[in-house]
Amino acid sequence: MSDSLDPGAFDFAVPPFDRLTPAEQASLAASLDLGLYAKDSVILKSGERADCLYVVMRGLVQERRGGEVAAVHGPHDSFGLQALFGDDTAGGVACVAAEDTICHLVPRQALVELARDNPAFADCIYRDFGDKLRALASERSNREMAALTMARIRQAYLHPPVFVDATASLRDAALAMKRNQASSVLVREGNGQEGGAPGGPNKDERIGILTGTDLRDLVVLDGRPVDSPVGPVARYELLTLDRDDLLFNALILMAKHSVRRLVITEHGAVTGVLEQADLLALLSNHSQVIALRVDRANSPDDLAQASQDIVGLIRTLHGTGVKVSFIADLVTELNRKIFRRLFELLAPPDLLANSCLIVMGSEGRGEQLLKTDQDNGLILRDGYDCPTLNEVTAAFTARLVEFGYPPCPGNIMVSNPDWTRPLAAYKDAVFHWIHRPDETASMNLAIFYDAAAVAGDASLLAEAKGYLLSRLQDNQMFFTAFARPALAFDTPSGLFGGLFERRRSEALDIKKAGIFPIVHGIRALALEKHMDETNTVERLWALADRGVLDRGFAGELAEAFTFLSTLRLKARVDSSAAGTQTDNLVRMEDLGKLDRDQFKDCLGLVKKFKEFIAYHFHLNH
Amino acid sequence: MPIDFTARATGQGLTDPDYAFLLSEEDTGERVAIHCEATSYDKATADLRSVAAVRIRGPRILASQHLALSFWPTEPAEPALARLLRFIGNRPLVGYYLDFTVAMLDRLVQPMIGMPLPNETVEVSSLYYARKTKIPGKNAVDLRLDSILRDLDLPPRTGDDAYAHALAAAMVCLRLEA
Repeated sequence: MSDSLDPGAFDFAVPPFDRLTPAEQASLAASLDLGLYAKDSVILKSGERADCLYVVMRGLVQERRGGEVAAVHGPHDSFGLQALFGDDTAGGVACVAAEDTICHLVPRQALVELARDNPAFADCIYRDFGDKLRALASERSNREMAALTMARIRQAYLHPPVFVDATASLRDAALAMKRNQASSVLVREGNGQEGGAPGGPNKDERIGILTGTDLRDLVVLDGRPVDSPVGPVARYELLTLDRDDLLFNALILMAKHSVRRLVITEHGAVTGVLEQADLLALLSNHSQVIALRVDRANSPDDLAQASQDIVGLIRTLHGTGVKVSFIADLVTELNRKIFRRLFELLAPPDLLANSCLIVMGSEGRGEQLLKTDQDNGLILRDGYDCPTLNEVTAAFTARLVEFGYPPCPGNIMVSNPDWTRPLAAYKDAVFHWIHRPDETASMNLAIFYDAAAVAGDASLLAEAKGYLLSRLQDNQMFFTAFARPALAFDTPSGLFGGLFERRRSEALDIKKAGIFPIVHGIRALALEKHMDETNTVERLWALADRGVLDRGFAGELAEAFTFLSTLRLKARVDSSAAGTQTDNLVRMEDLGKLDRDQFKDCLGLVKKFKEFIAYHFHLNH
Repeated sequence: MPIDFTARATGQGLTDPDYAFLLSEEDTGERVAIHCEATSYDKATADLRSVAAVRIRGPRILASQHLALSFWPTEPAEPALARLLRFIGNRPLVGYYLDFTVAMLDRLVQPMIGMPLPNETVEVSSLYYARKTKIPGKNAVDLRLDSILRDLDLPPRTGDDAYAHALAAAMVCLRLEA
């Protein structure tokens, strides 16, 4: 009796499985298992290793990260690749059946064997994996992945280049591959022999590549004699990248040109071959990758260069459509690294040990895009005295201004003695802010609540914040006053659509109308609940977890916040490109139809949120 | 031949110690969906033609490791049955119209090892009936396998053979227990 087909037979017309030969399809079909999952059951727990690739036959699967649905997979979609090949911490993604779901399960072993035997299939799988990784990288909560895209090619394993002369035979090339366990050889044409160092630049020579697949095609399929020279058949349009280029770029280049290896150069000379498999090994194995490139700056001047690179990087990332939350993460990481390194370079060791450098406001929340005003301070250990303190703090502020971080208009900077003081003085200030609230005090409290430690002893900040929370009783009056600024600016709403349309040509301050109300309203709610989170979106989800906000509403708000931040970044990138002052103004006429509609929806949502805040904190009484 | 339930439960009469694993207490966490084809529906006289079995582990149907056996009147059934029994082990059996499959097997297994199959059984049409009758109503329950598959939004059977039936039974079982 012959085996019948699977019920709802596996669809081989869908990529990447369409790349398989009939024989391979048959072998894959025979190795498939089935998984049945009821609605709302967890298919893959967060952080769980998978032993197979899941291909949805029927139903719907959601990839969830935190409170967000990161991806949805319907019939023919596959998932679980990261959990299969990646590190076990692959982004903390959980896969949940959103409906009754049936999946085909492709065992790891079968997948690996097919990928080995069928380069086109492997390519498809790896590209898909690359896409997934990039999608992952642009997700909010994945700081480690964010760092990954900053990794340099240098960090990946490079295969030493195997050279053969153009006059060598195909057999020699195959032999060289076998001997060096390489999957490709580089073909040197021209008088490269006298060229000194291998791979050294030589004007008369050109370098081509010949892969194992090429060999197979040439000899087995085309029937070329094995003693014919490699010179004429090698491909000379090499895709090369410098060793200091980003791995991210390598990934994009491979995907764009559908190749599985790149030639890597250093100072123009070939130093190795980067294989897709090694690239993916590196990208999927977080623990091997250092969060960001090691900070090797030895002087403030080195830092200045690094700091300048950030703007270009943001523009590139923004240009390639990377999500704004990811950019914010990246900027946060880089800025904090620069602040920390600068402080370490300027401060004497005992100051470093007895103080805590903090960033506040949007920097503390990890939400700054591009370079925003400095909002920083220094908490000194009680009883510690640094003789050179004033010079250090003045130099710190001056250097940051030099790096392109504008000074804070409110003078909230370490160079201001009000923000460089002992812990006890900070506690006094907090006491004052809480019990004698005025406009400045409220704002100071707000930005201090967002503070994050950047360098030195973080326990000093933790103690100051602990004091802050302990002083907050359930004082309705205080919270009413604290939350009130959330309503300070008008948010034009879609309700008055006509009115709004007429004012279309007027620029709207997106920060005042949209972003600030969300940030501050959420901050007030977070403070009321004594929460430790500093990031607005994290606070949002934490509030949803505590039932303060409805989960659906929290999701919409988070989305609106992200969208508004994106618009703001867009406005800023555009305006700073034009050489004008960075501003927060958005003109309706500059927006596309889709953006405009979504913008209106977002403002409507902000309006709704403001009503919620007004009700919650009794602001209308 | 009346079924001796006591013997079935305790394994009395097992003459071949090689098959003691059928009575093992060990919990594999697995079940086996099984179906047979025979020359008629009369379990006393029909000849067994084929048997297919597939293991169920958790939410998974281990389709890649399924067993499909054919029986010919001219060939001894024992070697194939021995494979089947090792495949099944002490796992509960799942099937559609399972009584028939078990009865057909028992006719051959009893003389071979001295006792009928001791395995627990799960009849998927009973599971389905129980599910349907929970909802009050006077409608008759359509217990045909294909109707059940359709009603549960499961993929239709693509074959008419024993394996296709076993697979369908496995899916019905998993869907109804979830």
